[in-house]
Amino acid sequence: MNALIVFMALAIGLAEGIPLGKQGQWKELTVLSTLLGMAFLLVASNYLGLPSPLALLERLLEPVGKAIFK
Amino acid sequence: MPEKGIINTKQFTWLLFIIITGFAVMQIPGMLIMQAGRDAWLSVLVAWFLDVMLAIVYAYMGIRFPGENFVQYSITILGKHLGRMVGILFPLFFLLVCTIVLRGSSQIVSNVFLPTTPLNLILVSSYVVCALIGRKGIEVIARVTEVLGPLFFLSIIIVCLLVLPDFHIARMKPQFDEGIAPFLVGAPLMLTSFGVCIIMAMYIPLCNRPENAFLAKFSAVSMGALVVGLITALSVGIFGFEDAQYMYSPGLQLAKMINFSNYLERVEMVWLLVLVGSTIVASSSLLWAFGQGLAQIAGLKNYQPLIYPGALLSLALCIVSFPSSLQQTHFYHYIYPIVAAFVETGLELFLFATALILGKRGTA
Repeated sequence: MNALIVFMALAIGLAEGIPLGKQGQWKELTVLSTLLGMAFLLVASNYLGLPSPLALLERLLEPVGKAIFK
Repeated sequence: MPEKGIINTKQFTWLLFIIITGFAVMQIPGMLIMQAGRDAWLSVLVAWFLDVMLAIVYAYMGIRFPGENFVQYSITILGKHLGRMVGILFPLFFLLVCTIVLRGSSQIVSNVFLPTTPLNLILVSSYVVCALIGRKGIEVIARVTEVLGPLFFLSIIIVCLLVLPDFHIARMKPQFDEGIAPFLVGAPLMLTSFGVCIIMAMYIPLCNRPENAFLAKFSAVSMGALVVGLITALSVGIFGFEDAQYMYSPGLQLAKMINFSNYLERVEMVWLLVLVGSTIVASSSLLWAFGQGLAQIAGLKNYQPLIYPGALLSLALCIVSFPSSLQQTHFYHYIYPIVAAFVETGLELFLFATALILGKRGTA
């Protein structure tokens, strides 16, 4: 699945990025690349066994959530 | 090109209804019953009231800052830098909700329709459809909800009517056996699910009659509360709260109950088709809001190139963070309500108070 996400990131990068580059929309291209880079980082961190951002959020808020809800 | 689509009040209402119900009808009734027991239906009532109160603030802000959504008016109120830091939390929240909704609906599809198909395949297919719809823009999503919304509403009402003969009022008694605390604690759990319709602030500038925003929200949340309240009350009255609290989707179990002399059965398939359609449209709307919000924060001319990467990011988050449905349910039950309360209520009230204190108004 990780490989599929990397492949999809590359495909989206090419399909969306090339027209943006040709039109000179550099800001759009930067945001697009950042989002794709974040997706890549997520799967890479998962592959390396690092916690995801939501897991970190969970560690932070779980005591509060469990104190309030059953 | 920024979003040029225009929606009318009816479409506004159905857009909100689909988002509220698609999100709240799947897993929330079970969690609510676990929290509030037999009094769970009262939590829905309290949450409905609180959400309507919150809608007044959102509708007021939409009129005070005409032509601006909350991402834009956070920049107007707080300035370029702080406004962007606060404003980006809204699109990120929509991406999180999209992740939770699609993970939940894919799990149901996997459990009921396609038990031998890998869950990841269902997830990828759902995301592809959502991204395709989201990229088409708000007008397309709104027109789809005009068809799906009434169908969804009617299907739930019909399911509720068909299971009514199995309802035992004795299973709802005694009410308040543990006092009022359980249902009062259940109310914020429900409120944070209804609260997803803060997305109304993204629709107000695109509505042909922005002054009708409150009416649209009121109608949508009232229908949503009716549907969730009915499913919650019927689940308790039919299965008993001891069993209903552990069900992944009590609404689905209710639909499975329908069997009239082997003549009318497997109704859950029809209901699930509508439910899955609704969650996909709701998710595409959330992806659209993510792309639109992020484009406005970054000052882009066009939001459309951000929809596919947004969908991919959400898919990656979904696969990495929720490898099993247990983890998703745990996150949804204990973590999501706190995050949602902060974004839906805390941030908006902060913006509202700051706008009043600094005397900021929209210029359009």
